[in-house]
Amino acid sequence: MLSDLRYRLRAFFRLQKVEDELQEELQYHLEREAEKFRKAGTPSEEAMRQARLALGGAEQVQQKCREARGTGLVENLLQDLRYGVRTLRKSSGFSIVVVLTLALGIGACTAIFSVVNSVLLLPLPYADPDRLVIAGMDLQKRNVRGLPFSNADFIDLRDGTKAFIKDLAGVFTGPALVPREDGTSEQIRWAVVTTNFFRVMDARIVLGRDFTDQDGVPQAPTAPTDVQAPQATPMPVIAILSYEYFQRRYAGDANVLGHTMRTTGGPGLVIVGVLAPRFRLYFPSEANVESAPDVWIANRLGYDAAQRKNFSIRPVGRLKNGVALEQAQAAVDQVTAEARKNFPIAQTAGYYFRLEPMRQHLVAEVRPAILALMGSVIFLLLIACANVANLLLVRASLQERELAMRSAMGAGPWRLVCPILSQVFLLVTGGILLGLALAWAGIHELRTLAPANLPRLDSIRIDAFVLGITILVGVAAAGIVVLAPAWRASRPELMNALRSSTRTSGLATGGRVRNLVVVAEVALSFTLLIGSGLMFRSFLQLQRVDPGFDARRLLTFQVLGVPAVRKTAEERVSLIRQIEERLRAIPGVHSTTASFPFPLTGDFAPIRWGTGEALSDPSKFQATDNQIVLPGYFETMRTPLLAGRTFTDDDNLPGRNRVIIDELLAKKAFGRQSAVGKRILVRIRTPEPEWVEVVGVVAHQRATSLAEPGREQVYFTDGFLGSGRVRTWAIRTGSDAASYENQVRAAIKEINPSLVVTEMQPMEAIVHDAQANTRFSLLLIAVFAIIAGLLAGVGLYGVLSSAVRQRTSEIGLRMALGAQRTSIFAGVVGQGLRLSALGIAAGLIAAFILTRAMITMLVGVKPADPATFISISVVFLAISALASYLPARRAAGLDPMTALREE
Amino acid sequence: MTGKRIELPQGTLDLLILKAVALEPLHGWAISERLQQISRDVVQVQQGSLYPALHRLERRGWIKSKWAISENNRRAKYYELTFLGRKQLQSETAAWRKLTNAVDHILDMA
Repeated sequence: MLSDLRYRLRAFFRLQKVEDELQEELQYHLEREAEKFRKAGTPSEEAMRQARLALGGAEQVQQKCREARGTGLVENLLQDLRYGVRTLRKSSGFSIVVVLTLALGIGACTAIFSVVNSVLLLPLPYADPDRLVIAGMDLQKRNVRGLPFSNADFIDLRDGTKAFIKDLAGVFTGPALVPREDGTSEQIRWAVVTTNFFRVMDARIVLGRDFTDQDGVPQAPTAPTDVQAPQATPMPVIAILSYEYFQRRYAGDANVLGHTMRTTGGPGLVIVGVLAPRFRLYFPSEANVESAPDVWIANRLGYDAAQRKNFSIRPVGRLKNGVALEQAQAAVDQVTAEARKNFPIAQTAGYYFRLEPMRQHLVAEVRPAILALMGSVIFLLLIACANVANLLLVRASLQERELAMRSAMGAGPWRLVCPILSQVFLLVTGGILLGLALAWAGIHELRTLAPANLPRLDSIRIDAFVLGITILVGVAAAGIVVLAPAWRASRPELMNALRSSTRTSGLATGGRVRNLVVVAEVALSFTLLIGSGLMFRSFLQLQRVDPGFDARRLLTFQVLGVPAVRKTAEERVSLIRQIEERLRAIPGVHSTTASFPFPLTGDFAPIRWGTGEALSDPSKFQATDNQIVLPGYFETMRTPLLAGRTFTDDDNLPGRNRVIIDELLAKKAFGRQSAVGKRILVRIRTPEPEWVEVVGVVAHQRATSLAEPGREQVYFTDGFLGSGRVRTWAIRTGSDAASYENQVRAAIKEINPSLVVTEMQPMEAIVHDAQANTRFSLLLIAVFAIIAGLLAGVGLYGVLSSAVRQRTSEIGLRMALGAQRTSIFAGVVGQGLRLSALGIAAGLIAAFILTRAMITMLVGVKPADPATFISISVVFLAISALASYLPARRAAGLDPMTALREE
Repeated sequence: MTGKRIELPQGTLDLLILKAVALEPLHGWAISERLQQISRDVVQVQQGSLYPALHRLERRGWIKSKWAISENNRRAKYYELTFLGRKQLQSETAAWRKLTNAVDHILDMA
């Protein structure tokens, strides 16, 4: 067997040498044979002739030897390929169209699959990542999902799930200003983690040591830990640096271990270790977790039941081996059941902890969109294949007589199909190569277009796996493309084809298959167009949404460091006043304000509120988001005031318990009654709810998402919360907002150099970002749908024009017998419309079922939106009318005499 | 002369070739000559079918070839029996004997 293989390989790869040797061998034989005859007395030339005669035809002998070598199959293949190249070159227009069509389909598939691969398939870069789970807190009755945990909740969860979760770690992150050695400040991103965090994630410490349990021993309970910056504690705060920050700030100097890094208003951080490079936190964007913190701080986690409402920690756990998620969830449910029993507030909130595999948690937000895109490109590929199959069918029909002739001369079915296979092989190879190039370029574009919430964007590329899938897709495409033509070619209807005299007669036989293919094509592209139509409507809705503020000419930025610069409330008030005045002094600035959180920037802060009846029945408490603002906020944002008044400077003084609520909260609290002058209970700065007075009602602002109305809002003044809590500033300007950036930076620096301005962007950019998801999906689906629509139109055109060509003589005859040109025209158009109507009918059903999967991507549009379905149907009929028009015109324009003579 | 010659039964050519090269390596023409000699001009070996057979046997690994200088001082392709070929020769010879014996037996009985 081995010698056989070796022999064949040699014969295949060194074909020329083997052939030469055979030649030489036979030549030697002839000479010896001739010599023999000469010795017997035959004249020289006659001897050679005799020798040749004895051997037989040299060509036949060589051919037989080749067959004996067993390389005939390969040689046939090469011959077919050469033939294929020749044929394709002869019809370069056809080849280019086919390769381009396939490349579009395969390229789109590859590009989107590379996204699927890196976002949905590649394991997270942690050890055994499938066992990592995230816990999120839902307040089911308050429409709040995925909240972080309070310390007490975290500890309850950890202790209650010990049997199933090997170790539960927690993390939360944020930005902070730290002083540098040269007196300036820099903004860093910090993460506060439980001391077991790196062990749970299996992160490597490259220098120094990991946290020990000692680093996490809680301090005596004091004031609530401020989420904004780690507070002064008598115990040292232990920190580990990220490798990148270690390099950036300390230039990789190992002496930094044991060194205390100064912080603003704290004891500083004692550096004990350096983390391995490129360690990242993978959380969905809505969790607001920094992906690459600079400094990791050991959490001195204490159990403080009073602080149960201070949510900060994101728990990450590692399931024990052999434990199913459901088992762990059951244990978690016991913890929450206990809490609901002990705390009535938990009961009324619909308090619930949800475990989720870490990757599922990461991609839940983007998964539907990615899958919808994947579905779109698969449709696109199928349509491309259908088109190519139809083109091949038409070609095969034209070659029918040639095939029949070959068949009559004894070629087996295999030898008939081979030339087609080799052509398809060449076309698909071309399609794959060009498709890969398209995908490569497309991925580059995707990266710039992709919304920020697409996780692991940087890892999107064509790797070996994607390449393998691309080749598989190509092979599958080849299979689809070749199926119908090969089947038809392998069994030519011999007598029919030979008997008929025109070269186009073969078109008649493949007609039904081609019609079927075109109907399928129309159905697929129609479904895609419906999808893009729905996305387009969603995008329009999103554009039309009134966010409750006017984003034009509004510049936003954060000013960090106010609490650090000014210790007392009075100092902070005057500093804020100074900033306001300085900003307002910039020519062209109409007004200024500040807030925390700020709409559409990712933060939200739910608090508890209730009306008087909640005093006797705590179950009447509900949740609302809150925003802390400076007076002038609604004027600057141009949020319509619906009743009462907006905040004045007097409201900003301490002890003025006045709030403004939005229309949603007003309706919930007081129904149709006027809310102005009434009181509500809120829990924000005190352990128990306190009374505040509603002085105004404003229009609802879309604060968490543009796509959904979101929760109710209550607005407090900065003074109510002790001043200095506002962080994001906004200035209303008279012209292009972005042109004020430098003046703003200069103004803030002038007030105090240690204040840091960051995240500066026009409000319109924030709104733009909030539309990014919808825009991204719309753009991609629309591009795919338009290509699909074009392909389907071309496919329909191809079928109709070959039908017209096939029926030329029939049409000529009918015209000669007095048929009107208009009726000929109508006949062809009618055929086109019938085909597309069938396709549309099938597409309607498919779309009706499939668009339901898009529900989370749609904004203000139902998946079965009648307007979209009807308008896309009309658009599609128009496309098919156009595709039918040209062949119909050709048919109607035929000269009867010429047409008849075609026979 | 031709009247006496009989056609070689199907499949026996391989056996004869193996036998021919069993003694010493031979080139194609010499094999053809040897076959003519040992069959005492009774068996007609089509020279044209000799070479495909050689290539087939080589592919099966029963003979191997090498280029060497021939008795008339020219480069010629020599074939020799391989280990596998020797085995094959033995088993085919045995099979042939069995077959001819059986045929003889039947003919005698008739």
